[in-house]
Amino acid sequence: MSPSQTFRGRVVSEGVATGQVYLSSPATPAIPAIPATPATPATSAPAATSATAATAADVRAAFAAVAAERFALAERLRADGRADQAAIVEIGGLMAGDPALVDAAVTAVEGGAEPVAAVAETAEAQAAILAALPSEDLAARADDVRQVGRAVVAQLTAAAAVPPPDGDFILVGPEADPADLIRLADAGLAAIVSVSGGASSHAAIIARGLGLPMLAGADPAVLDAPAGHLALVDATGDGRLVVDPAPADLPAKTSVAPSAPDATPGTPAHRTADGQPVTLLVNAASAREVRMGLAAGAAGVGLLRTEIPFVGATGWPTQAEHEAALTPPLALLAGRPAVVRLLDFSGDKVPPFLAGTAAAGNSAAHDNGLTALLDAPEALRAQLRAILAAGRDTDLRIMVPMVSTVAELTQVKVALTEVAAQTSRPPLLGMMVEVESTAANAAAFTGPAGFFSIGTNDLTSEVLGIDRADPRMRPGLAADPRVLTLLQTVATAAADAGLPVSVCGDAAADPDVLPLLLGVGIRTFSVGAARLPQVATQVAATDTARAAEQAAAALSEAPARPA
Amino acid sequence: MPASCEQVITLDGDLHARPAGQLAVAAAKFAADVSLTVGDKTANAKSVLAVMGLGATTGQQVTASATGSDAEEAVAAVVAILADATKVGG
Repeated sequence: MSPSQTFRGRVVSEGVATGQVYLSSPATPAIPAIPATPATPATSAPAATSATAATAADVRAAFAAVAAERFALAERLRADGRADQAAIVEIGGLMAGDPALVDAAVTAVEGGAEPVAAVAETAEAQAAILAALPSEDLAARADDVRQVGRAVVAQLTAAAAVPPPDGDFILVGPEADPADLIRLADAGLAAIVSVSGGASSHAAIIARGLGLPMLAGADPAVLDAPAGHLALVDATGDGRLVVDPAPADLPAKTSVAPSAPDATPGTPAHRTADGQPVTLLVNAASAREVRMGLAAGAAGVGLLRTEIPFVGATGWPTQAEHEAALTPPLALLAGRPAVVRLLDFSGDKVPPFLAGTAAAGNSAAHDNGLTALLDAPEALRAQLRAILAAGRDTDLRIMVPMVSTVAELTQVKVALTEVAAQTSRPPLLGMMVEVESTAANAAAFTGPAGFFSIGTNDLTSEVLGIDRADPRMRPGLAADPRVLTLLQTVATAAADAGLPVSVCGDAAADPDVLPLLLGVGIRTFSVGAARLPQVATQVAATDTARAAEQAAAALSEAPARPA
Repeated sequence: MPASCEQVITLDGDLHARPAGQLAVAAAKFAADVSLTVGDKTANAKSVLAVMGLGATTGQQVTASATGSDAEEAVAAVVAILADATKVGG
């Protein structure tokens, strides 16, 4: 039994889980796969499997891919203010590009050596030179060379593209891709550990929605954790990943992550303590979250985040790609409300193909996503067609994010009308209210909008001038009188126009904010699946008359709004 | 006729991994071949592994030499890093 190893990380989604270590795939699979060596150390790679093996050029490309990956990680660590760790990771990148390693391995392969063995032996030879040095600092770098060798072998054998293990597993990688979380959610994903990232990253939001423990900002050494070994993620208090934990360290239950329950038909009605009906919906980006939400009593989906599968996209998704992503969650929602939000490529969800345009000077940060989509009419129509097709059996509604002008909404409406021409019943088109000026002038939007859904995260961040990524940013801040005043303005405008209004931001799941939202008259809430039971309990315990008094008291602290 | 240049420096501290990395990055920017010699060991300055493999420690003399059109600048850059970066680690 190997001794246990512990790696520290910041808790960004709470919980405890166990599973096998599963190392995430590198961003760019560089090499055509050759038969993978089983999960044994690289040094024992057999030569027998490689008749069709990688060429010398493949070996060179694999080194280059590992170097690029290390440099990219170093850059992210440096941006996070973790300069010491960045320097170490960078030296790994230099090693992966070092002629002493690369040229030696390539020469050996050109001379007829088996590629995997050649890489492993070259790395071991260099490691041995360093290990023999009297300086402790340099001798310790021997392990870094071996790690680079293993990463190159993983590239060559496509070991990183190996499917996840059977049973529960812990995804470990340089960064957590929200799309991976969704893809793996049904395959046994039990917890996530990433070297970069923080609490406000979208991967963290998805992890919280799935009720999966997640650590971010982990020690880069975690990337060399042994794949397939049993590990424990303790994301409570100080976060840690323990590989090969002692039996005493294991929790009594193997996992406290919620299992994926079967959706039970029939939706329980939620009522407040004084009998007011309340609709609870779930925020989702995946089929698993939809199942969890329905099982926890959600009537449907109040926010389907369609951009998450595409945050790494290199171009606008096609209609077929949209349909492939939308069908699994929407297929679970026959006859139920399904509010599908158009692509919201903003904030930390700007994919590579739009990153350039954002940097090129779309000054207002919140303009990026919607403006880019409206500027690409074919991309907008492709998504609208896919939503209509995938959601045809649901009580479908389409929602526009980050609306700041009526013209934006009208533009989507025109496209929807055109695309839905053959549809018997075009879906309701509504909008998110999450831009401060939009909230303040909500009455102006009640004409073209079919419903309002308030995004408290972005709204609070803008009103209070705190960046979403700022550690001080938390859902409870929506209770600030300046934010609450705007929420009341939106709720009143909707009520006056007979428009449905809901809150789909994290604030609805905050126990201090929920009574205030009920108090200003909001009766529909959409929250992460893992938060539903708690929200349902609190709704049932809340008296709306008392809540209205509470809200009035909080509002009276608001400074008078300038005319 | 390629220029060549050579300079000797006495280390104020051990040549650790981090300055070795800085050296490799700096040397790679020049067209010239750049090498470091300590005792009977010579390393390609553009190879972080080779530079670390020198295991150079405080008080040792390092000869930085370069051959190529920008040899002089290359040696100056390498010596500057050796003088600066090894001071702290010592």
